[in-house]
Formats: sequence, structure tokens, C-alpha cells
Amino acid sequence: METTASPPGTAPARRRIPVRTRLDFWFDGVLLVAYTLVYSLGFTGLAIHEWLGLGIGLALLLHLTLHWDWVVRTTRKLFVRGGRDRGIWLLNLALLVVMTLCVLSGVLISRVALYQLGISVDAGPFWTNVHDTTSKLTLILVSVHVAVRWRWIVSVARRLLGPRRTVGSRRSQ
Amino acid sequence: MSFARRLAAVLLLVGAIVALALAWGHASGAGQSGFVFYGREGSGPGFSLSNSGDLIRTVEIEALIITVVITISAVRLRRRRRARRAASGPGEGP
Repeated sequence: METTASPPGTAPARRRIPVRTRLDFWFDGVLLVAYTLVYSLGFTGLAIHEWLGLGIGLALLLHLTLHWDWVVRTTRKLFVRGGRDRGIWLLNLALLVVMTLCVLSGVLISRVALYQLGISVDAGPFWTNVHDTTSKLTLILVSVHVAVRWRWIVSVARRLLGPRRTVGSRRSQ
Repeated sequence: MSFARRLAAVLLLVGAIVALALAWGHASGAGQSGFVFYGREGSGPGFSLSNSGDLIRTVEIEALIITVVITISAVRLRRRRRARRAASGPGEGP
């Protein structure tokens, strides 16, 4: 943890966590909570499910935009032997495709959100089946997507949410 | 690369997936004839929160999958560290 210099044991040490890291942590955390709510249709009801689902669709575009550099970097390294992130890249690609299909099919079978916007879509049972299947797949893929970054999550959570350390109480390593 | 360029690239990628999905739906005879705009009437079903069991079940499934993946990852990490230590062990130490 980085700390600023202050008299030992007097002022709490400031955490110098980059703004971008904070943004990623909180934005992704909110996304995970929102996704969990959206998946629980029985809890939210159809109206919240659809509006929140649309919101998540837009938020995912922002999430992908924020991590676009990683996508480009990892794609370039993809064919290098022993590329570490190859598995994660494939997982994320699968998640992107499945999540896009899930949101798209959700929009096409929407009964509340589009109705409130004054739009009607004539979608058959095909898209209902696609939505059912892709929603189940997203639950698995989102959970794995979160879990593969657990060390980063734990590390940032410790720095952001852990007890405030003072310079004087900093442990020697 | 600027934010706008990245966003454009993302929109292009997602747009391609959407186009392919719609083509797939069309080829499968999904009967999707496009969007029809009509005058808004009423507000439709309202908001309601109920059945917290559904939410708990979702959280349980997520927690289970996350725990399994983290356990596998931690075991692999420990094995790798042990192997590295074993490889560099004999020549080092007091």
C-alpha cells in the first residue's frame, strides 16, 4: 500500500489508489449487483428486469470500452506461445457473444420496456428460447469472469475497504 | 486511443454480433418482422419486489461457481509456487 509521509501514529495515511482502479472496482461491483438482480426475475418483476437489463446492456458497452486496451493487447499476444491470458480472452469473448445475444433477445421479447417506449416487436418463440438459454449461460460465465480476477478484486478491496493504516503502524515486511 | 474511438470499435463489434444474431434468427424462421412504433398507451405493469428466494438462489449459484473457480486457481497457484521452490531450492538457503 502506498502512503503519504506524516508523523508516525498521528494522521491516517492516504491511499494512493489510481482513480481508474477505483472506477473499475466500483463500476464492476455495481454491474455485478445489477446483473444478480436482473437474473432474479422472480424478485424484481418484469418491469425492473427489463429496464435494468437495458441499463446493463448500455453499461456493458462502457465496461468493454474501458477495457478495450486489454482486448487489443491480449488479441495481439494471442498467438504467442504460452500467452497467459488466452483462456481469459476466450472466456471474455464467449461472455460478450452470449451477453449480447441475451440482451438482444431480451429486447425482442420485451413486454414492458418497449411497450412503455411505444414500440412493439413481433418476435416468435425462437427468441424466447435464445433468451432462456443465454441467460443461464451468462450466470455461469459472469461468475467465472469475476472469479478469474479474484486476486485483483481482493487486492483492491483490501486497499479500498481495509482498516486505515497510519504510517507509524505500518508493518515492516 | 481516445475514448470515442474505443467506443466506436466496441459498437462496431457488438453491432456485428447483433447483425449475425438477427441473420441467424431470420434463417431459423424466428418470425421477427421488425420494430413497429405505436402511440404509447398507459404505462404497462408497474414495479414490484417480491420472492427474495429467487434472488438468494442466484447469489448461491454465483457464490458456488466463484468458490469452485477460486479453489482451483488457488490450488494451481500453490502447486506452481511449490514446483518453483523445488526447482530453485537445493542451491539456495543458509
